[in-house]
Amino acid sequence: MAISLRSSTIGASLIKDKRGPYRSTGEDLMDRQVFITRLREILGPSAVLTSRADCATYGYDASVFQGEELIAVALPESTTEVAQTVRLAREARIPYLARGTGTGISGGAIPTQGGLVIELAKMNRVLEIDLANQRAVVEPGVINQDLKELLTGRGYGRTYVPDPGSQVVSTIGGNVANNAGGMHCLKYGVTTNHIVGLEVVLPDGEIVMVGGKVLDQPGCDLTGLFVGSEGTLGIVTKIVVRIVRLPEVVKTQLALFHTVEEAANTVSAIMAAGILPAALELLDRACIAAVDQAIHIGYPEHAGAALIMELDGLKDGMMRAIDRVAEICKRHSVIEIRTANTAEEAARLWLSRRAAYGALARLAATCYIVDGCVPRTKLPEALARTIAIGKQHGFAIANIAHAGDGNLHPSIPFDINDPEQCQRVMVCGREILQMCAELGGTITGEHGVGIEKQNEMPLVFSPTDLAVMHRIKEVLDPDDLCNPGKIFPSPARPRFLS
Amino acid sequence: MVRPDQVASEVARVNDYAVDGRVPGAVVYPDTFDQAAAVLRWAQSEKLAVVPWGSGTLMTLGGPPTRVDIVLSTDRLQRISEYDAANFTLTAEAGVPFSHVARLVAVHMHTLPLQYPFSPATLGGIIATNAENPKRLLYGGVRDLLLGVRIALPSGEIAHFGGKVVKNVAGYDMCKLLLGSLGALGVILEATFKLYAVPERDDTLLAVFASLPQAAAAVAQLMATQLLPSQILLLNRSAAQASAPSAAEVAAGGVLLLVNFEGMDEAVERQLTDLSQMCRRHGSRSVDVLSGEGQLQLRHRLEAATRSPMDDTLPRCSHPYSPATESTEGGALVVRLGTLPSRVHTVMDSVAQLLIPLAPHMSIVGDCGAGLVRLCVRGLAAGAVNEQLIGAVRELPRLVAADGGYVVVEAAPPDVKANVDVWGPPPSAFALLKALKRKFDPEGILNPGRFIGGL
Repeated sequence: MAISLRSSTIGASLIKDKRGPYRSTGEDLMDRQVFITRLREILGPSAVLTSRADCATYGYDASVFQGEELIAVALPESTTEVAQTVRLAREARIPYLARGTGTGISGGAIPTQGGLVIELAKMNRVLEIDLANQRAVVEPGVINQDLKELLTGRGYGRTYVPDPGSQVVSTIGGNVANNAGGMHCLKYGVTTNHIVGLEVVLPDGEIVMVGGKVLDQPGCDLTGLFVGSEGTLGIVTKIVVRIVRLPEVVKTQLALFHTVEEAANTVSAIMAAGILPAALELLDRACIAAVDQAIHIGYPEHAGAALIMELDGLKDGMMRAIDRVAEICKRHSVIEIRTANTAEEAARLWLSRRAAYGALARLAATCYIVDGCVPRTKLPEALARTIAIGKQHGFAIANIAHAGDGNLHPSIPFDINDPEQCQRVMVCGREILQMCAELGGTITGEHGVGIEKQNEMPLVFSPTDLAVMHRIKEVLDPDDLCNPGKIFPSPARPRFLS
Repeated sequence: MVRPDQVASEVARVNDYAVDGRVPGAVVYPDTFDQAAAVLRWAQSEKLAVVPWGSGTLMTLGGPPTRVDIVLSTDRLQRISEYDAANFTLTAEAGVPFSHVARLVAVHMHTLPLQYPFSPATLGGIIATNAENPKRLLYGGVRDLLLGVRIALPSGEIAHFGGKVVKNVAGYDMCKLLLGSLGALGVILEATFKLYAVPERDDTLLAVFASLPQAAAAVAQLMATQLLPSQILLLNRSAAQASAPSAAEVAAGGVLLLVNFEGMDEAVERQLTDLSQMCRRHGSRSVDVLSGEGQLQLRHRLEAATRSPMDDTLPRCSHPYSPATESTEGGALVVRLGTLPSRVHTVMDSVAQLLIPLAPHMSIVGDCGAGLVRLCVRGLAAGAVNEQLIGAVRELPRLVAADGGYVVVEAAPPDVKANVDVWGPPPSAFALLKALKRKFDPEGILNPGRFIGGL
C-alpha cells in the first residue's frame, strides 16, 4: 500500500462518540488510572505505554483510516500475560485489539473505539522447527520474511510458503488474522492452507489449543475458523505452521503482450493445458510505464501487458513445460519472452512486479489499492471495466493482478488531503467490488474486510448469511470487546487520516 | 412441505436407516433446498431428532444417537449446480456421490483429488466427516479443496458461504467450521470444490520389506528428498494380502510399501527410479510398479479391507467396498489414529503388538504422508461382550498421546461402542464447540449424542 503517512495533527479530534462499550470518564466501569495500574501489575511498568505519542503511533496501521484515542498500549511477552490482559480488559469493559506490525491496509488494526492495543511484537520467538514432520511452531510476532530466511538458511532447505506483499515487515500473527495471500496462491494456497494449529486466548480469557502438529483432528476445523477472522474472535498466541522443502528447480520468465486481454487469455490457456504455474503476475500498461520510469528496465513501447510466470518442481520435464508455455504465449501474439537463467536474473524479472507499488507511488502521493477477486476467465473483462469505472470517477487506474487466481489490485492514485477525493475514491472502489461480485467473485481476496469493506459485505452475503456468520462472533465475544466494529456492516462512517 | 412420495415410514424402509440400532420413524427425501430447510424447521418446532444421511458410508462414525426420529436423506439432492470447467470449479448438491463427480469431470480431463474415483461417499458426507484424502500429501485435505458451502439450519434458514474463487477472505471461513461437524451444526445442501488437471502419468511403486523398520527407513529417506509423492502407505501382512495378492509374499512381520507418483512423464519416471534404488538399498527384495487399472484395483481391494462394510442388503446402492461374496456376519472394528508422519511406523508397531494377539487377521495401514494409521478387523463375534478387545481399544490413545495425536473409533460392534469413547478425550476447545452447538442447534435436534463429547 503506497501511502505516505503525514505527520499532521494526530489524535487532535478527541471523539466523544458514545458507541461501543467504552465510555469516557464519568461512566467508566473501571477508572482509567486503576486500569492502567492493574495493567502495569500484570505486564510490568515498561510494558505499558500511555503517552499520547505512543498511543498515537500504535493507533495507526497502513490503511487510510484513523481510530479513536487509545488509553494504553500493552506489550505482553507471553500467552499468560495476553490472557491476563484480556481478562482485565473484559472486567473493565474496555475494547482491545491485537496488533503485529500494522501493515494491514483494510483498517483491521485501527482502534475505532479506542481502548487498548495489545502489541505482540515482543512475542517473536521461533519455538520449534520439526523438519521430519514438516512443522514449525512460532509466536505471533515473528516476521514472515525472518521465518523464511531461518528455514532456507542454516542448511534446512525449507520454507514457509505464504508470501504476502508485506512479508518483509508483516508478522505471522497478522498473516493468520488476515489469511494473507501472496503470489503463489494458485498452486500453493493461502495462509490457511499452511496453518495446522493455533493457541488462542479467547475473549473470555480462556486459553485453548485448536489443531496442532497432527492433521485433521476430530471435530470442526476451528483452526480454519480463526484464520482470517481479523482478530475479532480472540488473540492468537502460538502458531503451528506447515513448512515444505524448497522446489528442486524454479524457472522464472517475463512475457510481454500487446494487450491485457492477450496476457489474461494466455493464463487461462496455460491452465487449460494442464500446467499449474507457481506464480502468474500481470501488470498493465500503466504499471509497466511507471516501473520503467522508476527503475529503467527497458520495455518496448508497444507492450500493453507484462506477465511474470514461475514454474517450479522437479527438473525432469521442466524444459518441456517451459516449451509448452512458450508455445501458448506465441498463440496469443506474445511480443517477447525473457527467461531467467540464474537467481539474479530471476530477481531482476521479479523486480518489475515487486517494485510496482513503489513505482506507482512516485506518480501520486497516495494510492488506494482495491482487492477484488473474480473467476480467472473473467479477468480480462474485470480489468477493462475497472479502467472504465476509474475514468468515470476521474481516476487513472493502473492494474496489477494475481492473474492465476483472479485476484486484481487496481491502484487508484488520489489526494488523501482532499475529502472530496476520499469520498470519490471509496465510491469508485465500491463500484469495482460490485462488479467483481457480479462476475461471480468476491470483495476481498487477501487484504481483509476490516473497516474498508464492511459495508460492501452485503454485495456477497445475504442478510441471512451475515446473521448466521455473526452468531460466531456472538458466541466467542458476547461483550463485543475484541476488535469491535470490524468486518460486519456498520452505520458508523469510517474516519480518514487527516 | 414435501409430497407423500418423499416420505417413507414403512418398516422395511426405515430399518435400512438404523443408526447404531436405533430405527427412525420416517425417512424424508427433500428434493429442493427449501424443502430441506422446511423439514428442519418443522423438526425443531416439534423437537424431533434429525439424522442427515448421504450414502451412509460412515454412518457408523460417532457415538450412539440419543434419539433418531427422522432421517433426512440427500438422495434427491443430486443436481450439478455449475461445472465451470474453464475455471476449474464444480458446484454440486450434497447428495451427489463422489464417484459421479469423478466420472463427470474426467470428461474434461479434470480430477477432484479428494477420494478414490470409486468412492460412494456423497459430497455432503465427505465434508461433514472431514473424510480422509488418500492423496493428502500432494493435494491437501477437504479443507484445501472446498471453496464454498450452502447449509440449512434447524431454524429453517439457508445460508451460503465462500464462493468459487480460491482467494476469499470476506468474513469468517464458515466452510472450515462445518468440516468434520458431523451434521451437528447444520445440514450441508451444496458445495463448491476446486479441481485439478488430470496428471499426465500416475503410477504406484510397490516394495516388499521383510521388516517395518527397514521400510520406515526407506520412507524417512524419501520424505527428506525433494521428490513429490502423492501417497505413501505402509501395509501390514493382512492388508497386503487383501489388496495386492499378486505382489510378492509379505512375510510375517513384513510390510508392503506403496508410493504413488503423479505428474509429468519424465518426473514420474525419475521418481520411480530414485525410489526403487532407495528401497533396494534399505533391503527390499521386490520392487514393482503398477499403473492404470491395476493400481485402481489395488486401491479398491485396500478400501474393502480397511473400511466398515455397509449392510449388503441396502437396496439403493451397490456397495463397492464389500464384494458380494464377503461375509458381513459379525461386526467390524475400524479405528483411525492420527499421529505425526515420523511416528506412523512406531504406532503401527505398537498397535500390532497390542491387538494382533487378539485379532490375528487385523489389517493395519499407515499413511506416512498424512500421519494416519488405520486398523480394521472383520468378522467379530456378535453378541458376546469382548472384554479383552474393549480393554485394548481403550489403550490406543496412550500410543499417540505424546505426539498430540488422536484416536477415533469409526466402527465397532455395539458392545464395544458402548464401552469406549469413540472420539477419545474431549479437545481443548470443547467448551467452545459446545457453545457453537448450542447457538446453531439450540434444541439439539441434529444428530444428538453422536458428535464429540456427546453433543
